[in-house]
Amino acid sequence: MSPTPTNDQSLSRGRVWKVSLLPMLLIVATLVAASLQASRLFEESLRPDLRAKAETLAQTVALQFHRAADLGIPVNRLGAADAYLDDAALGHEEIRYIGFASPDGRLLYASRDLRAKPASFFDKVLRAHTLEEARGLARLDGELDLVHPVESRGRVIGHLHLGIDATYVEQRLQEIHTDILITLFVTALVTVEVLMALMGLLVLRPLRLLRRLLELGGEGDFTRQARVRLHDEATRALAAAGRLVRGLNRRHAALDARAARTLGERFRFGDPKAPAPLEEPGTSDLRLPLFVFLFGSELSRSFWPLFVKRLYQPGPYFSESFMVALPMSLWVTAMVVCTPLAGRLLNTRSSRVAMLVGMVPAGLGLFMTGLASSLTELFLWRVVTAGGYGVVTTTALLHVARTSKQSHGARSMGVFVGASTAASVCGTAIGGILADRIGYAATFGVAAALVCLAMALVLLLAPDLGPVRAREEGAARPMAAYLGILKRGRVLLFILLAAMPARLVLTGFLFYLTPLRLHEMGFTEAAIGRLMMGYFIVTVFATPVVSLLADRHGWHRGMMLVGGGLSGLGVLLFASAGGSWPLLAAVLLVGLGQALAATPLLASIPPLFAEECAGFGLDSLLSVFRMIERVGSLVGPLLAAALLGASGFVRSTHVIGVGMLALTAGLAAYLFLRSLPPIPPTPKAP
Amino acid sequence: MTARAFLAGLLLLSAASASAAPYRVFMVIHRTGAEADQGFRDYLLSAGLEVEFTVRNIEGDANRLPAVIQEIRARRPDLIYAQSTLVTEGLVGRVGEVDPARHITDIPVVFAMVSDPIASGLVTRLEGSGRNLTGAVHVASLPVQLKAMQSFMPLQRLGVAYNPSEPSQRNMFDKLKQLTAQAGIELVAVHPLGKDGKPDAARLPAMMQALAARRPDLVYLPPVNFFAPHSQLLMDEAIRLGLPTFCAIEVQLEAGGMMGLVAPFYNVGGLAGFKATQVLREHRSPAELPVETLSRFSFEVNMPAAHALGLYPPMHILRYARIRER
Repeated sequence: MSPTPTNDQSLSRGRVWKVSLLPMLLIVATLVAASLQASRLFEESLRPDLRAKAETLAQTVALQFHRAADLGIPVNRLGAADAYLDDAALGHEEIRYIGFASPDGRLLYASRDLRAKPASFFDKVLRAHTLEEARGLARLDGELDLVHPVESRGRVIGHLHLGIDATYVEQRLQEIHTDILITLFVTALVTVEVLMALMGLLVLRPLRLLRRLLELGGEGDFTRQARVRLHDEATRALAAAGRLVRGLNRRHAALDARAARTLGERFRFGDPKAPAPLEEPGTSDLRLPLFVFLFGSELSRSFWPLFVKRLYQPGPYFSESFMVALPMSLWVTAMVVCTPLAGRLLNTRSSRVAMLVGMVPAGLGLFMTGLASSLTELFLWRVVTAGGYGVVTTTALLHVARTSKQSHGARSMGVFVGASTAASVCGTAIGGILADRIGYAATFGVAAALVCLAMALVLLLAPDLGPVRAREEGAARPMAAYLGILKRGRVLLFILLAAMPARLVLTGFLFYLTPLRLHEMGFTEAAIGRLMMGYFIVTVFATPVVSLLADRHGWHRGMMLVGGGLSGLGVLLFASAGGSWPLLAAVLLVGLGQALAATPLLASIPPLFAEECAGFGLDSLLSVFRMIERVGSLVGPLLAAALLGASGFVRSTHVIGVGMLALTAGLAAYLFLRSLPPIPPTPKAP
Repeated sequence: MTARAFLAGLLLLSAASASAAPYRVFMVIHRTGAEADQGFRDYLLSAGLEVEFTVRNIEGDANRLPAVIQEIRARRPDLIYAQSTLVTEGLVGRVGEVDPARHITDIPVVFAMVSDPIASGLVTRLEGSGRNLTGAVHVASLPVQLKAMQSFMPLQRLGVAYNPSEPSQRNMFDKLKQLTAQAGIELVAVHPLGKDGKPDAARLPAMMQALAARRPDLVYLPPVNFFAPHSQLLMDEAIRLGLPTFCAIEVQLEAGGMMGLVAPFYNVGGLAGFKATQVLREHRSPAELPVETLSRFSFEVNMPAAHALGLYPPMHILRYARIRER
């Protein structure tokens, strides 16, 4: 055993950051330059296009005035001309109004929006056109007025005025810029993930192993061997050292018994055919494949309820809101049911095998979900996907839990939470944009492809290190342990007050109500993705900070309470918010609250329930914890659907927000009443 | 292979045309001048049929029909073309009143220019008459016409001039009364009947004046056979009295009616010709062939009338209407 493996890892992680910084900056800089260029090109072509389009529309509208005049109909005797202009303006979102004025400047006919304006407005339009720089396009506040003369038999019979929304261009540009920004952000995140993983696997890990091999050799221990799969400079060096050790072992095996015994007093040798592994499973082994896998799974996050809603056929038994919520609950159920499989695979085979076993059904399920043509098919494939998802996430979670040191509980969990939230950010945002551009089915195809990529990454990169066993014995009889824990009222109460509400808010409010509400308010899939991404971005940034602060200062409990409160307030704000920014603020608040509440939660269990940890094992405790938490995820959408069906959006959101605040108050009371000594601060790492 | 097939086809074709004796078609005309007759003849010829036409004109006089029927019996043509409701009714009789001694039952009859064959008692259903009779209708249905009027202007009071002595007109009037009542439109009706219950051309100007006195928004002129020779007089009176008119048939528009939803009679004749071709060449039974109307009618506006009345079509009608500028 190396004296300070975790320490080493964290130190080198810092170095990786430094090394990754330059390529990352280069990539981001290139992207920024390309994006700027793209948006300038877009801007350059959009404005003239807009004027050209308005001119074309004016010409088309003018045709009927022209025709009427040619037929000898006096221009002030046209029937239903207002309605004609209304019709003409319809379907052109940048056209605010169309009007027709006589040659002497009297407004004869006008579309609805222009009729609604005060008479002085048209005087302003005419004045603006007298300015020399107008040249047919006059600038007013908020709109541009394009004037188009209508002629008949060589004489001007009137002028068409088209109001172009001046903010239209800005709005389109803003949307494009936001999409570019999101793509940049996601690219940077993915770059960091990939660089870190590759640096770790290709450079740091072989060098660390080499150092360890040499250190062991220096101590006279030649029993261990590294398994080398990739071939580059660093791994080749490691392989060379390995060959040396293997040679020594072979020669030792060839020695006669006496010489071997003499040598064995000073050195230790291994079996050259089956050497002991040099490496132990590490916390971040699975980070990259997990990230890619979750990225794929999260693609449908922002449009999932809308996707289900599309397949809903009115039936006699179930309401739409219930049927839309049902697959979300089925998801959690299937996930929970398949969870024990992950533990078993981890105990008997390896993390690698467990990950692959989960990814196959998940990828297939995602692909088939996109092709589903009925709700029954959709439910079926969702369950298959969820089963795989459950195995993969539980494997990752148990892997992290079993390979981390307890003092770094919150931070190690951060590896898992960090990867999953980073994936959620990327998935939600990119999924929304993809759905907007290429449709739902194709987006599910992309998701399945990402899961396949994750499988390839597991095969290529994840070290095959054999079973990862739990440290405690309690895990051997899970059911008995679970029941034992559940009988303890204080554990159950804590979970019900602290873990469940957070889940209820996440699945019921964010995943279910939010997309439905935003879609109802007219947001596109991309816009919904953008807004929901805010939640995950906050979590990405807040989680590491919260973990660090919680570990360092022992603020676990306070953070949980503040987090619960913020979540509740965020939900309440969302209920009454109207525009994009207040809605985003609400989502961010919920996100911050969840980050504050969720991260210290797992880490606060061992100290809060030391007795149970000792009795049943941390693993069992965590499993029960997860399970109850998942009941929250399961109930969340159904509860939200029931509320939505019964009382509409605003009222149901109010109920959820107030409920969250009330439960947080309950948690505060619970923590206050438990007269346990405060959690001692973790000593700083040397 | 293909060249051979082509040659064989050519041979067959020439054999067919050579062997077919000309079809004999007997045309009974209500009055000369309707383009439908020309459309009917042209269709048959363009379809490649060799036809020998015999034409008899009753000049609007039903009393001349028995003689025509006798001639038909003697000649035994392959098919009879009947122009107008009056002619068709005289030739084949109303459903339930058919007398094989007076009516033709054993020779296929194809009519054109019948505005409402069900109301006129010629057939009971349009999908197939069940009689030795089929044909083409030249008027758009009343609900469609009423909708067209309303698209031109909002209607509060609608005038109608009709001839109650024509059974099809009585039916039309009942239907119109029902439709206007449903739409909340007041219906003002006038007719040119004298004390003897017969229409009198001399009463037409007075009829129009009586209508004008009620100040209707619009006057509907249904396809009245009796009006046909007096169209010009009626339209001139309407303009003089400041009455905008909505016409059901093209002749009225040609005489100066202000607007109408009409089908070109030439095309109506063509549709009748199509049905005649099905009977003659494909040996289909007229009893099974549907009685149809053209799928497209055109909204027509007479600009001189519009100018004279100072009433112009609204923009949406200008977009699709056919404008007559003379």
